[in-house]
Amino acid sequence: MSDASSLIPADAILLDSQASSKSAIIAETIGLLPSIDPDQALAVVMEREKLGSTGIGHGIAIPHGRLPELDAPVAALSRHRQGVDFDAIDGEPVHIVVVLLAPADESKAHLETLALLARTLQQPSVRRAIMEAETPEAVSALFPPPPGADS
Amino acid sequence: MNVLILGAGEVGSNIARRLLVDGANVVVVDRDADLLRRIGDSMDVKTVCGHASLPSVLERAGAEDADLLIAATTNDEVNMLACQVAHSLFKVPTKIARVREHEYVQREELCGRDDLPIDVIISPETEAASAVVRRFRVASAADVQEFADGRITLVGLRIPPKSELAGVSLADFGELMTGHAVNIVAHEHNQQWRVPSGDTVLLAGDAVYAAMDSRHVNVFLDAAGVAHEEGGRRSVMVVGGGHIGYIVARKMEALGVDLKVIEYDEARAHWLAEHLDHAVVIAGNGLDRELLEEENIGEMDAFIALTDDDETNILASLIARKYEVPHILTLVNRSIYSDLIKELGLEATISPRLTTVSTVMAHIRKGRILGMYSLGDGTLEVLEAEALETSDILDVPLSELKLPKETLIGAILRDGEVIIPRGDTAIRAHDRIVLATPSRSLQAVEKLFEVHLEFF
Repeated sequence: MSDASSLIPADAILLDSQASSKSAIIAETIGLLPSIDPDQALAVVMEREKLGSTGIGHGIAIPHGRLPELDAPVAALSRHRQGVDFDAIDGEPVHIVVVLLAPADESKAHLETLALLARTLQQPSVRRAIMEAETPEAVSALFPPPPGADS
Repeated sequence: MNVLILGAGEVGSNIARRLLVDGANVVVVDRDADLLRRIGDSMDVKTVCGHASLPSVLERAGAEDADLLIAATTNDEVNMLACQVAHSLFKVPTKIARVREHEYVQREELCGRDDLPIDVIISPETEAASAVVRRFRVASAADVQEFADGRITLVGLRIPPKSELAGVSLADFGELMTGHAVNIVAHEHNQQWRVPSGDTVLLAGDAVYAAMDSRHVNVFLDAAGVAHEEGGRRSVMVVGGGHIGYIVARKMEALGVDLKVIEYDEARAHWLAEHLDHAVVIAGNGLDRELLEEENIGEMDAFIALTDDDETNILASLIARKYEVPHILTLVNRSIYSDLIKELGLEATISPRLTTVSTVMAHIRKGRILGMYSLGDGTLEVLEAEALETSDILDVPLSELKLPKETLIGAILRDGEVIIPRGDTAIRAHDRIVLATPSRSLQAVEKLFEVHLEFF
């Protein structure tokens, strides 16, 4: 892992998404991740969304899925000022989208990462800080390192 | 959800109507401005006039924000190309194309990640043909639909006067069927469709739908007092050898029936004779009673009217009834005829439009919902879903589970066995469930099957 200081590295953060739909903002967020097949990733994530929205309320969504060619979980974040309709459980538009992609192995590491992301984003102070942040680095610093990373 | 529908014909406009009920934002594209105006006047959709596969037209229709594209113009190639354009230029995640040509439909390898980017091909003609053959195989039932990879069958029929089922309450029905997995999931009395409860009493003349272990279909048909498929060769007459007629004829040949196909167009009849193996093809008019008599219509086990003209199909079916053909199937495209047909006493009809709309809706819901079928006048739906880990439906005894009103779990496929649930049955992960629910409760039912965040 090259950058183990945060779950979401600064170069995988977009502060002013202009996307106007759920699939568009997911595609845009996936585009922030280097060296993955964006079409495949989008297909996998959208397939998972059909089973139940990952919009967990309070303007947060954590769409996720598995990609066989990954070695470790990777995450990217898009921030959207106006908010996007995401079929979220509270019906509210989503302002912070974190895409999490995990390897297609048996390990439970991805579940820990997902739980960590959800716990972090459930804190109102973190959400506020993300919405107010002026640089990607500031957003990245709000997230803990990946679970099990020896930093 | 943003949906782009290409083609404002019967299929396109009916899908649009259904999607609006679900709260989708719908844009309809067609070349015909008059047709668009009519649709725009009658429902809350945006319309765009233009050639459906052109990038500029798709862009105007908002393809960039579309979650789903349904290409349902009358032109196969336009539909397929539109999916490619939507995929390559606008990254539309899900694409459904209507394709008529059997040669394309057959070759599944045409579609895929590195091939044509079409997630689902729908073919009203092929679907209608499959429905015809399905019903033929359980000839005396008015309607048959398969779920759970064919392990669960939904049979619809009208209870005949001297049936064992007449006068039986639903609670007693369970006893009558002891040892067999059969469960009544929908009941029609005086043209009112309902999901039945324990004290519902079945009367002669009522219609019912029952979900059952596919191996027990004949047990149910026996109890209902309707004849089921006897052995021996059956004779079938098909009127109309067009798209659907040809596919039906091929499938009938495979079932080993003695088949006569009557086709009006001489050139088409010639083509059919060349492309069918055993069927006798006759060039002639399906309404010509002399011809029908000559071809022994009176000795047929089944008569199937499949021309592209509804009126011809209805009249031909009435003629067949005059000759007391035991099983008559009528293809009807236009929904306005459906009540009329019941009054004429023609029970078994096939509507390509309805079947197609059902299929499309099932695919849109795919994931949570694996199959869906509209009953009667469309007020009830029977659907199949897989219970996935983390969903709300798991592990609660059904008597305590908060199902939406009038919703009934008909049958469960678990570890290869079909079970009829009881109050103390709890759903387990990976159960395949067939349930009946009013259309207005569909979304609430879907919610029960939604997975939670931690589902990866």
